[in-house]
Amino acid sequence: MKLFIIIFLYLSFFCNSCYGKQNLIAGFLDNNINIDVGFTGKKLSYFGAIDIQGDLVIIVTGPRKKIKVFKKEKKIWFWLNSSSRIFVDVPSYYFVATSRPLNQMKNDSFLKINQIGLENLRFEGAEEIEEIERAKWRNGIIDSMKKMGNYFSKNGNIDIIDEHLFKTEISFSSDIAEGVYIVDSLLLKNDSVIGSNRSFINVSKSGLGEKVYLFATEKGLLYGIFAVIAAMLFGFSVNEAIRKINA
Amino acid sequence: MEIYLPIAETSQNLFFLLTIGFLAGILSGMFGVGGGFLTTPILIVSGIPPAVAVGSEANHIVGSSLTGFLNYFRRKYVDIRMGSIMIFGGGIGSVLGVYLFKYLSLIGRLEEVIAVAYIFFLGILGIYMLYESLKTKKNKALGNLMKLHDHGWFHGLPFRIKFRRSKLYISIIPPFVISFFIGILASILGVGGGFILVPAMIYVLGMSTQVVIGTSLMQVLFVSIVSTIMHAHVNQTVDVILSGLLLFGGVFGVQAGAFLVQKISGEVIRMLLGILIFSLCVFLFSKLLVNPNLVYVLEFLR
Repeated sequence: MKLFIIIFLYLSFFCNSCYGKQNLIAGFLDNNINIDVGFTGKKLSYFGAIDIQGDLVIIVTGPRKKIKVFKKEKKIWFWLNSSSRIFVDVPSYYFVATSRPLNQMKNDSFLKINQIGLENLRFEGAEEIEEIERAKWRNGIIDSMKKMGNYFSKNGNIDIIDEHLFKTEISFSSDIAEGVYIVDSLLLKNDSVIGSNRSFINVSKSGLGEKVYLFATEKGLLYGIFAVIAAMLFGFSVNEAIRKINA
Repeated sequence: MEIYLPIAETSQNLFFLLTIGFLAGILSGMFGVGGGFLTTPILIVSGIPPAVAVGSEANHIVGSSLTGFLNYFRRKYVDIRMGSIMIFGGGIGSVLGVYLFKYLSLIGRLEEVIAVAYIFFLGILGIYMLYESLKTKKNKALGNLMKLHDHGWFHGLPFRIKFRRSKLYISIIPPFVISFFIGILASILGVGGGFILVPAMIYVLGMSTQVVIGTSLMQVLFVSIVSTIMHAHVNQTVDVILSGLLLFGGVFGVQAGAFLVQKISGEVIRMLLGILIFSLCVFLFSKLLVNPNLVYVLEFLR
C-alpha cells in the first residue's frame, strides 16, 4: 500500500504539471514479459490515477495477426476439417476491464467504433462470403480464442481505491504470442471521453528459449544438423555409460 | 514444474515429459525399438502441436536408436549390406515424407492424416501384441515355428545380390521399396518405423532373425537423422528442449527396460504394452467421434 501511495503522488504530480489537465494517467511497474524456458504465464498489475469520477474502461489488445481458420464439420460419424478461410487483423490477445458492467454504460455506438468488448471486435478478411456466414466464422474464432485462453468472456474488474487510484490485473497464459500489446485506458463521462492513456507491453522470448527459437527459425538447416549431432552425442555417451556400468 | 518449449510455444510439465521419455526408454531397453509410435501420439494428446511432436520425436529417435544400434553393432548383429540398401530407400522416402507433411499441413489435413494413420497402426499392433502374448502363453515354442522363409515372386526380381548376414540371396528391390515407404511414414508420423520394419524384414524378406533388430536400427537411425534435418529445414518444427528431455528420461528407461526384461516374462510385457497401445488407439479414435473442443481451428500465419 505504501508503494501505491508513492506511485499515486508521483502520478498526480505528472498529471498536473507535465501534461496539463489530463484527468487520467496510468502505467505498469514492469511492462516486459520475457518468455524463457521457465515461463508458465504471467500476471501484470496495471494501475493509475483519475482526477474526475467517471466510468473506466481498460482494453488490452495483442499483436494483430493473419490467421487461417479451419472449420470442423461432422461427416457421417467423423469430425473433419471441411473448409478454411483467411482472416487478417485478428488480435492474438484481447482483454477488457471495466469499473462497472459495459451494458450499463449505454454508449453502444462509442463501444462499437472503438471495438470495445468481444461483441464489438471486428476482423478483416474472408470478404468473399456472405454476411451471415461470415458472422458465424467470426463468432467461431472468438469462441476458439476464449477456449485457448487468449480472449476472456468475462470483463475484468477495476478496483478503485480512495476514488482516485485504480488498479487491475492482466493475466497471460504460457501460449501468448510475441509482440507489442497495446493497453488503452479510457475515462468516460456522459458519453464522452474525458481522459485517456496508452501504454504498451512488450512480450518477447528471452534467454535459452529465445536462442533456440531464433536458431531454429533463421538457420533451420544448421539447427537440424546441430540437433542431430546433439542427440547422437547423447545417445553415444549413454551407450558408453551403460557399457561401463555393466562391465 | 512447468517448462516452456520454445518451438512448441507452450509450456508442459517437466516430469510428464521425462516420464514419456522414460517409457520410450523402457521400450528400447526391452525390444530395441525407438518407441516413437507410443511417444508421438501421447505428446499430441497432451497438447503439443502435432507438427512439433513429429519433428521433435524424430530428433529423439536419433539419440535413442543410436544407443541401441551401437549395442547390436558391437556384437555384429547388423547386416551392413542390407542396411545400406535400406538407408538409401529410407532416406529418399523420408525426404519425400517431409514435403508431403508440409503439403498436408498447408491443405489442413495433416492432423487428420496423422490421427487416422496412428489409429490404423496402433490398432493393428495392439491387437497383434495382445493376440500373440495370449497365444505364446499356451505355446512357448515360437522359435520352432520360424522355418526357412518361403520365396515370394518379388525375391526373384532383378538385381539379386547375396546378403550373407541375413542368409539371403534376393533382389535389392523389395528391401528398397519397403524402406522407402517406411521412410515416408517415419517423416509424417514421427516414428522410426522399427515396429513395421521388423515384422516386414522377418515375414516379407525372410531375414535371419538374429540380425533383424540391429539392421532395422541402422535404417531407423539414418532415416531419423534425415527426417530431423529436413523437418528443421522445411517446417521448423524440431524442439531440441523437448527432444532433450525425452532423451534424458530415456536414459533411466533403458536401464529399467534391460532390468525388467530379465524379471518379467516376455508375454506379460507384451500383453501390458498391447493394452497400452490399443487403449491409445481407442482414445485417438474417440477423439474423431466426439464433439471437438474447438470447432474452428485457428492457425497463426507468420
